[in-house]
Amino acid sequence: MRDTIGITILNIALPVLYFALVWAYGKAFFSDASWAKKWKSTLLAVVVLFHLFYLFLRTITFDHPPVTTVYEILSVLAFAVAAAYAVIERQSKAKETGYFILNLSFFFQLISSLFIRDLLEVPQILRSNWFGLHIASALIGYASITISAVYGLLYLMLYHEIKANRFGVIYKKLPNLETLERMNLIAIILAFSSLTFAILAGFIWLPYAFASFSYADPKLLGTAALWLLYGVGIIARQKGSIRGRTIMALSIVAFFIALFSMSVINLFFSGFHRFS
Amino acid sequence: MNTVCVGISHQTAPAELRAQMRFSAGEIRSAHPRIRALGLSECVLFSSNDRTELYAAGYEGIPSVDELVRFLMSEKGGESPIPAKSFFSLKGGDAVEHLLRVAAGLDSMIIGDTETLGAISEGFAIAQETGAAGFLLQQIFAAAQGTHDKAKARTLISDGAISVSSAAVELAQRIFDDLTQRRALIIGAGETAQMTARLLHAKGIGSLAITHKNPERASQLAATVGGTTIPFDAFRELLPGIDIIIASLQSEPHILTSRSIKEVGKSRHGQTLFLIDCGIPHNIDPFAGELENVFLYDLDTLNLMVSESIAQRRAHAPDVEAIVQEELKRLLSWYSSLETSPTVEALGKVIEKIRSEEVAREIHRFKSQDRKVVDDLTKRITERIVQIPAEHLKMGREGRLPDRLQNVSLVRKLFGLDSREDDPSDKQ
Repeated sequence: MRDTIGITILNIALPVLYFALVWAYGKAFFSDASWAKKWKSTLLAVVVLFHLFYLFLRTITFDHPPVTTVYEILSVLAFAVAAAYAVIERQSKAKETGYFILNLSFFFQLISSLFIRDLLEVPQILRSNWFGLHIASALIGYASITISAVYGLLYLMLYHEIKANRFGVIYKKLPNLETLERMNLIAIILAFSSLTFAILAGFIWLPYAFASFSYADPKLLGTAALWLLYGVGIIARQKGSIRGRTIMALSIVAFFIALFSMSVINLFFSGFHRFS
Repeated sequence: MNTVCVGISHQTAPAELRAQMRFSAGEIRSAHPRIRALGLSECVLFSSNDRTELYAAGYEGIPSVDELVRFLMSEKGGESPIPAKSFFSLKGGDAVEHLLRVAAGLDSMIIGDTETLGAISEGFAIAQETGAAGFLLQQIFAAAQGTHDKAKARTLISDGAISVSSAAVELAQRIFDDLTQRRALIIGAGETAQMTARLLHAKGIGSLAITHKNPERASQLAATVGGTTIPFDAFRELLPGIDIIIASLQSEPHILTSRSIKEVGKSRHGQTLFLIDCGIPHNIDPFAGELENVFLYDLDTLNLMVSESIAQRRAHAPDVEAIVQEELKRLLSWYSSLETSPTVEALGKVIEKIRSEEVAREIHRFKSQDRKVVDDLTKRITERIVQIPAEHLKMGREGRLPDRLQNVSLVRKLFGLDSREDDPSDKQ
């Protein structure tokens, strides 16, 4: 019998910690609470570290990367969103948007904590570290895609508020349009880099791991299309061909393509790329 | 408190009189010896656009208000005397409360405008430099700064634009991240355009070009805001490189049409263009505002922003009033604590508490017949220890008031006789 008390405690604590984090970011955004403004970034670092420790503990205890069930994947996704946001916050030095992003982490972790089971017996293939790397980088990529879509949405909201002469909370509290565009770009670059790594790891490892591997796998094609779209988007943005509202709208479209690649293909297409 | 305040403000005098009464930093510095010659123990004088105020403290009694008013009148009266009715005066706690309200922006011409705080800080710094601000006014002005800081941190009393030009710059900052990388063009030299140009210059705008049908007016404005001039018939060629345009020409309808803005947008590869139209009638075709990545605002919109932010500031006034009362209460309670006898009494209690606790802890080591001796002995020792600072504090009564107040304050601080929150001197 393996000792899983630490995992159980962290599994209960994580949604509570994410709730506290969202609350602190919300207080800072909506009520200008000075304590929240001062401590929210520190709390973010603490929660991300706790979550990393939790994932590490699961990997060690159950002897497989924590990506074998939907609920384990949701926890990694919650972590990836929070970690990617922490990177973006640090890079852009804009701390006002955390409330909108970290709500996703809270939601993902809550669902995960409620339904997660401790699996000891998993297919040998899922114990591979290559598999862990492939999935982890893909999840960080998808988390960054989600974040870039949130920034796209926030940009469009602020754009319309300014155009419509409405000077409410959105106008007063969000970072300026250029900062939101920069944060969106950082998320896009993070998404593109992670997907590149996920695709490379997949291309190297998948043919060895699966006899039924096919380059025509729908999820692989969907991810490759997404990767291509982001690559073209980054080049176009750097060349100045598209900017502002257009690039934000494209971020949201790309998010829905990612959602399609992750869920619809998984539901309606068969292939080696399904594990549950 | 032996403090008074005399002065004129926007509530007692029109702008011309306030301008006449205004003291520059050099004038304040040179006035200090003459103010002190009136027999005042301490004084601070400051001047801003909407007020000139003189605060004075006397160690032996309340300074004469009439004498201070006469002094200000004689300093700035000149050939056109300032009527005495333009001055206001306040004494004791009322004078202190007034200073706290001014520092918090509650008494400003536009509520929440803390421009006066800069003047207060400057006046106080000069008074410290010349030795005119002593123990009392140091505490009072530190409380004024604290009131301002708390009001700013806890409320939105100073948030939002309060003029059309500041609304324009605020909008620019909601769109652009870094104004130092942006280029602005001022077309015309109307009052709002001038004010906006000055604010953009103050915010470090990357470059500022000015064009006007009258090149001399363009040169005058360029000289004041550190900009460059361009000929009026050549400004259109520069538009693709411009991020912010402020148009302020009279009787020049639609010098920039929607089509010309669209062409500019294309050559800028869709980079954001921010337009302010201060012209009457409109200098810029209003339909330009519907173009992608083009933000166009006119005076009506900017005025709407200003009225909204002033309404928001007014809504926060009651919270700031509460902060003023909280700070005033703290300051007055600190002042009353500076009496010698209560301090000696409090010191005795603290020492006695320590003695009785220590004796209670160790008394069981002594035989029962010795315990009373130990108790009496330690009591005598502590009483004699307390007597030393007590005598010095009482002897100080004959000395200068600030020395005595400082000594009392020091004893209270060293022995923790006040809770930290009740002692405004802790903030220094």
